[in-house]
Amino acid sequence: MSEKDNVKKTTSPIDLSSVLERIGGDKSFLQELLDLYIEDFSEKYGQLNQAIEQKNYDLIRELGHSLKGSSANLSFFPLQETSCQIEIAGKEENIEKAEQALVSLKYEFKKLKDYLSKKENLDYLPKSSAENSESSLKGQILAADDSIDSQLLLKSFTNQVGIELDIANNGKEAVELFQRKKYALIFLDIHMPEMNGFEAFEKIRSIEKEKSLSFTPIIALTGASFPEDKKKCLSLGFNDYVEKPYDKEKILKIIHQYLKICHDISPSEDIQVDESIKDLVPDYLKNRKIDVEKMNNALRENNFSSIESIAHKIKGSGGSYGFTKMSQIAQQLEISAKENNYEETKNMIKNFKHYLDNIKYE
Amino acid sequence: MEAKKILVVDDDLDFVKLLSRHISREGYNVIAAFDGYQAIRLAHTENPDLIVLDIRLPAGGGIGTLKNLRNSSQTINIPIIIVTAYDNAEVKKEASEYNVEEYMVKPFDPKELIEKIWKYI
Repeated sequence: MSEKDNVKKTTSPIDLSSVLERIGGDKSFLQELLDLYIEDFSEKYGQLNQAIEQKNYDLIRELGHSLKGSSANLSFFPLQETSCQIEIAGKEENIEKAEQALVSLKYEFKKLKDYLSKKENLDYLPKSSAENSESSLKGQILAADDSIDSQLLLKSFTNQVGIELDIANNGKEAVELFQRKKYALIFLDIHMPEMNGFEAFEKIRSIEKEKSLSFTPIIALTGASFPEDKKKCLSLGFNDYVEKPYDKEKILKIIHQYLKICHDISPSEDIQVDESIKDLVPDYLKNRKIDVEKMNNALRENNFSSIESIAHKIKGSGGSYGFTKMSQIAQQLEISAKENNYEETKNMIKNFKHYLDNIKYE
Repeated sequence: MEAKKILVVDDDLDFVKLLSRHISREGYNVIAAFDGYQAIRLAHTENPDLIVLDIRLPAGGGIGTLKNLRNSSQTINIPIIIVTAYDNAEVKKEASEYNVEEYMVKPFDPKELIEKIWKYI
């Protein structure tokens, strides 16, 4: 490790270069996302303050949830964890807990803002990582929309961040493409000829079930004038929806959110294990595989606290052994277990297992 | 001169192995405890020169252990470095009330830990 790397590691509250690598964009795109995040956070923080004053628990929970998601998008883990506390406080209708978490939130946010406000902290980032990301992200997204205008718009958004999009003109084409290729994310317009978005969604899910594949995140593209569509999308199990007209920020936020998961579990991490601890690694990884079994058993018994505890330990030890992504996955797993979220916990255990099965290190 | 002794406290055996490896490479003697009670007992019987303590611990918890160590005249002055996966202001504040020397968040940088240890022993 060079001296420069050490300096970066010990002074930075966040690892922006790995965020940049993960989102597959360039420095200006990251800057755009950071500005957006700061603006959104400041607005929600103000709302949260009011909601706590008014003891509006539904709003506290909602804002906590939203801040947790956006912080997770940029791997701002302390803010993610504190936002999670806010969400839990809202759920538990515990005003004291919400107030305490708000103090932590303010502190962590200030720390982050101070860091980002120093130009030199961003200087070390590469100006563009699009070249690298292009090859690794190419073709991972499928979008089905019958409107040429919409297709062009979606292409333009994704091209800006170095991702090439596969386009289908209707639901039927989308299903055909899906059968030929594994995607990290699928956008489905709802109103399309031949096969609409609902039918395509159900077809894709039934293929995944039949072949025991993990569920691909599917986002509905809906018109703002069809509120009943959104309701139906969520009840069917779409992961999210985006309203038309398309908003670049919203689309990029969604892509960012879902490709992140795909990247986190990818075995392409450049792992350098310190020579002096190399002999400890085989046992360490063997024990993590045992953890997977333990967590699956705990999940069967709905024992989320046990999963949370195991994930918490892995979060601490993974990166310390040199496996940074392992810590990141464990962090997400810890949060989903803390929330007693069965589906997400199940998925994250699966992701963790996938990561372990494919891990390579030097 | 006899090597300085460091007590490492963490309930994760793999983490203890890792810490021990990094610390013993620097010429320190390492002893380990896996829960709060064991840590308090070893702190009294072994007189370590420094303690590396986790927060999330069975039997006593990290904060409970800290409180106990700071309340005993025999252990009150032992430098304590917290190494924990809890990265939030609330826990940091609680730990600082017991005058811990340093607070580090896992995953940790071994070089940084060693430099912190050098500061105190």
